[in-house]
Amino acid sequence: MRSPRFLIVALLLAAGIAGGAWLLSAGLPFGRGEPETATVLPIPLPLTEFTLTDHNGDPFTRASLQGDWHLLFFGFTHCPDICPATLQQLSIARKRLAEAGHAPLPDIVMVSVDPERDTTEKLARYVSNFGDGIKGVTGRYDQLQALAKPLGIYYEYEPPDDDGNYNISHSVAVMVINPQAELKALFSAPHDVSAFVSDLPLIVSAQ
Amino acid sequence: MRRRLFCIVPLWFFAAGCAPGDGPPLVASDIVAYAPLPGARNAVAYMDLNNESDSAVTITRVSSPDFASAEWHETTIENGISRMVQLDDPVIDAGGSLLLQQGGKHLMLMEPTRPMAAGSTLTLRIAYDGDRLLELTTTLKDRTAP
Repeated sequence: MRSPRFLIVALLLAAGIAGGAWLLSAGLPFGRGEPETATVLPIPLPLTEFTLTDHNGDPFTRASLQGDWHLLFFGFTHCPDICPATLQQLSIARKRLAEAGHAPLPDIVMVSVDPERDTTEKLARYVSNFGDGIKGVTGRYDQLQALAKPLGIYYEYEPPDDDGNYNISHSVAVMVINPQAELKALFSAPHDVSAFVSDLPLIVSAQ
Repeated sequence: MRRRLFCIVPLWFFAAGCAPGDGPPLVASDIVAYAPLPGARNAVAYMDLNNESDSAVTITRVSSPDFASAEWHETTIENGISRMVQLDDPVIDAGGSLLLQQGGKHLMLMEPTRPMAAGSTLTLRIAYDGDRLLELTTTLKDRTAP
């Protein structure tokens, strides 16, 4: 006489096997989905060579992106709304991925398109507020263009007001760079923490 | 007797607060303001401004004693490009509202007149309809906090 506990376990196992077989026969994703928000490039786009400077004063080049996943976006520290919001969302997403045990974690890079105002020291103070794994980089205009142009990043300096303050219109996509320093995927605005958290592990694991 | 007083006072207070037309025409709710990040000189404020009167409200000036200037701005995203434009002082229709929110219309506060960080008290003054004034105070939040 088998115990009721044995019967329950046997039934659960049978249900699991049947469910798995149905998923396979129906051609549905089994245990892994597709990114719902990010646009994944079928063929990753290698980044061209560029030379910028990071918030520590060290060179930041294409080689700096090799070996780890990175989330790259363009902004500037005087931007009061969309840039800090994006950095905050990326930082929260990174923390949630870490808490959930996902590895490898992508590092975050804010490329400042405002080298006039965003000095190395200012970038260092700015990015240090958002937690670990965040870098601020910038460079001369021609150096910025060497990275931005091949990626299709647009930015434009608006005329200054009477006090000399100016705004910069800029692309707000978040770019996912793989450890080979290639553009693998991108997130278009408006951004959402949950989209980063759900899609990034899928993009990384599909590599 | 003591119990009756406890009942009457809250009822009177509630009725006064809810009677239509009794309160000021312009009311702000859901106020969130973020402190300038270190290295930045700008703060931002979001809120819902409601015109609870039966005639349009014309805002004539926004200011803060804590910042050299305060301006109405709007962030728009078109074709993946974020642009920010300065807006004229707004007019809020009778019974209407003006929603200031992240990634949309917002109050941009520039050049702090004193050290302003998360936890600091921010005062905003919104002048409207000539001589009326809505003064708001809120505690600045940390933009980096989840």
